[in-house]
Amino acid sequence: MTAPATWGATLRANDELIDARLIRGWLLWGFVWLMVAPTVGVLISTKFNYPDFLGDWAWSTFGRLRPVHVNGVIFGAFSTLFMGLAYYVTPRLTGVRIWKGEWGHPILWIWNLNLAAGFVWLTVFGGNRGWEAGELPLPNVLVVTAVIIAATVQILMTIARRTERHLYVSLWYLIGALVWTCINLVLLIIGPYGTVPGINNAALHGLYIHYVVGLWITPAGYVLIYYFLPASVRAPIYSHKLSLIGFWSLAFFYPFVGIHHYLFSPIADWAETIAIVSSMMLIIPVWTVLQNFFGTMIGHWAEFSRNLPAKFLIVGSIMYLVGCFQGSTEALRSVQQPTHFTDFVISHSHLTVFGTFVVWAIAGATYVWPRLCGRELWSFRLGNWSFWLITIGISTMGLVLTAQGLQQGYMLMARAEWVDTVVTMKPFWLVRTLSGISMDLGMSLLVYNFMRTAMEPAPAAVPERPVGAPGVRPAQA
Amino acid sequence: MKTYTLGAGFFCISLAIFVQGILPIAIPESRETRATRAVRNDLGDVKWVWHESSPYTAREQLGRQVYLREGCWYCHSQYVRPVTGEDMRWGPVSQVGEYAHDWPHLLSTRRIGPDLTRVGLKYADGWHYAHHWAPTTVVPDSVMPSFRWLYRRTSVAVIVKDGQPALADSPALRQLFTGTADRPLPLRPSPEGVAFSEQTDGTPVLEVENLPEPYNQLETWRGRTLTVVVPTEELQGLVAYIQKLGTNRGAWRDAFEPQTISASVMTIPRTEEQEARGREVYERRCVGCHGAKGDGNGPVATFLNPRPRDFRLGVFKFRTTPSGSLPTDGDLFRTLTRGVRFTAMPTWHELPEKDRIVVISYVKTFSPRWKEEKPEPPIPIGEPPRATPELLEQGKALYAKAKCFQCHGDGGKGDGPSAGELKDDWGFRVRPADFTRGQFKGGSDVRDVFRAMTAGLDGTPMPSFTDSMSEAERWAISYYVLSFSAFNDPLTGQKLALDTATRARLNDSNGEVYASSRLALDPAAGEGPPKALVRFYRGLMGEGR
Repeated sequence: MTAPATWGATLRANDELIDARLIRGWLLWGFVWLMVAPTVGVLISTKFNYPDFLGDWAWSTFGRLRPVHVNGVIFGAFSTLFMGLAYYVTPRLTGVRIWKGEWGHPILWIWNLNLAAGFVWLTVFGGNRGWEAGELPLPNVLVVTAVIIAATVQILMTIARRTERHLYVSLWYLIGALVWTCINLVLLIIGPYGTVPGINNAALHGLYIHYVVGLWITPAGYVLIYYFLPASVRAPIYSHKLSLIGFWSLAFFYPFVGIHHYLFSPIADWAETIAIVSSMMLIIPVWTVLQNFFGTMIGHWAEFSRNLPAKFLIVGSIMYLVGCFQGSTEALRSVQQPTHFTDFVISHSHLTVFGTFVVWAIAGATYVWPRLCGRELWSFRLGNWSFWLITIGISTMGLVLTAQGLQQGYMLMARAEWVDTVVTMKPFWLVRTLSGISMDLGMSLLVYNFMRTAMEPAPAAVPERPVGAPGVRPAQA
Repeated sequence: MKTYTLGAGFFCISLAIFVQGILPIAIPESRETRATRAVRNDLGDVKWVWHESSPYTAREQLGRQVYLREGCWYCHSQYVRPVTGEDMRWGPVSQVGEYAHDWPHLLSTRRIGPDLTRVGLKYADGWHYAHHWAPTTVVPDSVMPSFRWLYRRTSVAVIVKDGQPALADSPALRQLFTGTADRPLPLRPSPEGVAFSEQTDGTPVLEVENLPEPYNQLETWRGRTLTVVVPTEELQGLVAYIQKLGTNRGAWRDAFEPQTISASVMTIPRTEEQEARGREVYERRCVGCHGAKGDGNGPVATFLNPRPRDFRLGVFKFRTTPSGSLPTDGDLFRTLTRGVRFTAMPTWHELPEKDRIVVISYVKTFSPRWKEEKPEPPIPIGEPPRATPELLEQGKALYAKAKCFQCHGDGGKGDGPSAGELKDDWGFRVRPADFTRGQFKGGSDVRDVFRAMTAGLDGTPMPSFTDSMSEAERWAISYYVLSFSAFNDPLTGQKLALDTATRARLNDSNGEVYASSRLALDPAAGEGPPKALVRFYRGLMGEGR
């Protein structure tokens, strides 16, 4: 991949291969979910301190809205942004247009309207299927599966017809994410039904839920950072060998970890032990990719102060380091004794899914959106506000949830009465809600920033400035 | 190269799905459909036996769907782990067979509320109806939302009829109730003006005369409107499902150590500080049912049948002291710790001991009796005689002779000829105990039954039999009363499918045989401990907890 010398040249090179209107569509829908799904989270977290908040209608209860938050972040905010960015990245790395590019537009609408319909079904009509992170009603799951299969075919065919001989590591992960997820969705379709009751159903669900995070969100997130980190700081990736070690260790260890969601349950101990061992082994892919990211930054740390996409990517990586250390250790039996069932686990899921992967997707959008609009980011200053609101929000949330998880866990180990432990959690929950509001505010300002970027009058001519200019603090400011 | 790579990618996930998905399913242990179950044998002892888990009834299945749909499982887990003292908090550690009919599973990964694996039969249905209506009234610190859309409700004006408050007839009321004239459904409204009825077959009748003042006064009700509340079929199913949870382990509560307590001699000092602390506990734990004034007319009392205890009279059922006396502090402590089965009073074994002690001090401030009288010395309860078939025969004869059947029925189902007419000292209708379910309000040990017979249950029609029967006779009847629930399912009161040989083995009077879940009798297995290799394999499977 040889970088064009100027921004104008980049835009022109992009224009030849990508469908800018399609990618803008995906990103716009992604922004919608980015506003909706976390807001739902903030609203329902308020109920922890004010149980009567939002009244006592069926659709506004915690139980009905929680799946909208979880699925909205996973399949809405993250996946929709990711799909748009994948349509941006793939042609740039293969040198050819997306195969059957015209499929993109119907897919875009089917994917998003299907999610919206699914969320309405979940909240208003209670169509919950009972598998966490897979609650969408069956028809919606079938549509999700159809869309992922269609996208998989598109991407695989595009890669097969590539002109760049070497497959950059982003494409490895892209293939992995799509193909593995096609397999996983089969599990989701048949899982809650079939003839596998009881604890075996839980074991299969453990596999499913960790394939969502491990074989969809994680490799998809790697696609983004492996592309956008070198692109935004204009430095080659630190080590290709490391990236391959990362890929294969992920491919080997991640599929085994699912049952660590149900340690100390009646599921066979040896199956739990295998899940624990592979959870610890996940330190290998995590640390190799992080070494790669921090290595790439060597000599470019100045970008961290002035380059918005790079800032998001690096903060996401730090969250990844923290979140995954937490994830691996909490799979240990001794750590899980106090922490399981508590907010410690919720801390882990927010630090990784939001703090890392959604933040990486935000970074990608910050990089791509101004380029697609053909102009500067409307306000770097406002973008910086977004960055700090999001960073402070997720850091606080991670800390407070970890702290309260340990607090409640050890209280229970000391035989405290149940309701007494709940009362102890209440101030922590309030801080959690406030930190969520901070994140929400940051994302809203960012989306506002993007909208202003798109609506500013178009520049008379594309300025000939160095690549990576949008999202970078203007030199004269 | 490409082929190898593709192959490797598929190989990893295929291997994982096989090792972590298919293999755990394939092993027979994970498809076990039996669980160890605590049963009472003919001799009144609790024994453990491997028994098939029962599937959900249509009603329970409906409730399970509601539980799933409303996302109850986001906040309530359904498995008890063998660590962090959970088996002393919730109950026995979960087993594979308990989940045999769960589909999809509802294990859950988060506890914002308590684990529900063992909640079945912890509370009466009424508590659940109250709790889903107003969780923060029942448990002031709760973060659970109310589920009011699972109730049918209507507002009805209160009118005056024959100098008594009564409900105005309205079409809305007719939609909730059949209006069958010969089946009056008593409604006792709460101070907030909510009136609950579980049944709809009949005509609702306002019944306020027995309520404590001023709620029994016409003036309190004149011109007010009542909210009449009836659970929907879905909510009834949900409560049925909740009651089913954990009952595949049978009468496990009767063998649950944290709530077994026999101490009756303890003296709780009365100081103002103690009472003030007790008040804090009372207002966090008790006030929803027993009311701020201790009059048993808390905001949710309308949902409860039997009604919560009115502390102002200082009359208590479960005592070791003679009939008519105040209970000892130890008696109150025991009732608090183990709860009262088939009522809304749960076991409070989880509550710190000092909280239980101070709240007793506070409860005693509601009645002047505690200042004026002292509890009489407790009646000593000796060692029970050994149960024998002859003793049971004698008990059976005495049961008939003493006319126990008059209230409790020939079959012990609490359906005797007089059962429908019984009232307590407060004028509320009460039901005689149903012995077949083996869940006794005052305790399920033979000593508990003996104590009830000896001291009587004050405030109820159950008298003391100290004068009319010898000690030996009372023991005989106590054993016979327990035998009504022998080999029964506490949820349904029905006999379990156990063959005669198994029953005979369970009727072992040696207290140490089949005395715990680990020592449960396995009717399918031979005698003797398993071989070393089998033990190792079972250890690998996580058995031996």
